[in-house]
Amino acid sequence: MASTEHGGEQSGGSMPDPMHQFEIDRIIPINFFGLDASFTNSSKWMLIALLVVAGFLILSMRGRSLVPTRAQSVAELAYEFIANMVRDNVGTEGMKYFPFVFTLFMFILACNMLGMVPYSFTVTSHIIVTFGLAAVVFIGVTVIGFIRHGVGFLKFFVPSGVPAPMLALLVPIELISYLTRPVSLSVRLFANMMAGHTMLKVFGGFVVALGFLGGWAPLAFMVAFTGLEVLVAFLQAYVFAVLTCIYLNDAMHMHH
Amino acid sequence: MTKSAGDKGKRPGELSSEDRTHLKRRLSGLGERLGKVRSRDRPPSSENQRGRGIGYALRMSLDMVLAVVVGGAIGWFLDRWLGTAPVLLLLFGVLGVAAGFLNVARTYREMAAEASEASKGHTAKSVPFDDDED
Repeated sequence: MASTEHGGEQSGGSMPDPMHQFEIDRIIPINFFGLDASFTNSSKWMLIALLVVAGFLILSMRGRSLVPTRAQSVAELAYEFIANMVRDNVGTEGMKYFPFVFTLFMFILACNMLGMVPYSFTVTSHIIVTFGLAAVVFIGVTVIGFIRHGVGFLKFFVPSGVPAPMLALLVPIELISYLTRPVSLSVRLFANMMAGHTMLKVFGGFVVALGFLGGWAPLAFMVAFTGLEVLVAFLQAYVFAVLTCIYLNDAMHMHH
Repeated sequence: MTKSAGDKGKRPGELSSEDRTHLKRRLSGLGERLGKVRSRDRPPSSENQRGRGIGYALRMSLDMVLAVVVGGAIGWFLDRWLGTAPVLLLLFGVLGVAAGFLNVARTYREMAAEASEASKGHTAKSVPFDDDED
């Protein structure tokens, strides 16, 4: 399902297609009982992101020196950053979900940052990927809520101190509000990544179209915008992790 | 605080109770002054504040719009399932609008709490006096 949007025809003309970068190519076609489970360029970059994160963390922490080397201090910084985020937002008992949040953050960060490398593919610019991640968070958090509070977790959808007739109205509203979470979580990441990358390609097209004389203005803009995109790449990974923590906190302590 | 332990058992290197209270007062004054210096040296946070504000604005607008979309989608699927053409779509669309407002109100409350916290925390905590008298 993720890999059926192979664009095919290129729109002719001098301007390169800014959406071409989002096309999915099947590298190794795999048909899994009628499901298209091909190994695509998206899968390739996910794998690369995974190897980059794992490789970086393993290699940088190999020394385990008391006075960290540069790479080790970056790894420790990342660890402390997420550990403090979980502690601040969920509390110390939330630390058992720290590995999940850390993995999520590092994976999204690596995907976003690798997307900034020219000729690469931005995995997180596809909504099915971000929605998959958000759905894992959403379902996981809901399951945690039910495990911790049992059926009492349903009280999460019942605002306290409200007369019974109003509940018929308020419970569906709460339910819709709750169901908005995975959608907004995934759309935020996907929209930011896709919009930024499209913008970069469009302005890249301007540089070529305006030629040697006029191309400098969009080029200067692109340099600044690339910096902004790196910031957005980090920020969106951060926001994803923070919201995961907030949802986790809601499920564990049941207050809005 | 100081339970006047008296000066009778004073050994060299120990402080009398008056000295202690005096020292405590000086320490807390130092903490206050330190906080002032720190908040002065900190770059003006308007840039930071604005960035955070934009973040909240984007979050609120997205939550608002998506709640309507999610509500509408639920209504649409229920309609298709139950065959009650446009009724549930409209009903859940309206509920979605309400859910959107609920999301925004919640984000706002969170934002206001954070803002009041930020305005409170201008002075640093006084330096703790950890020398327990015995």
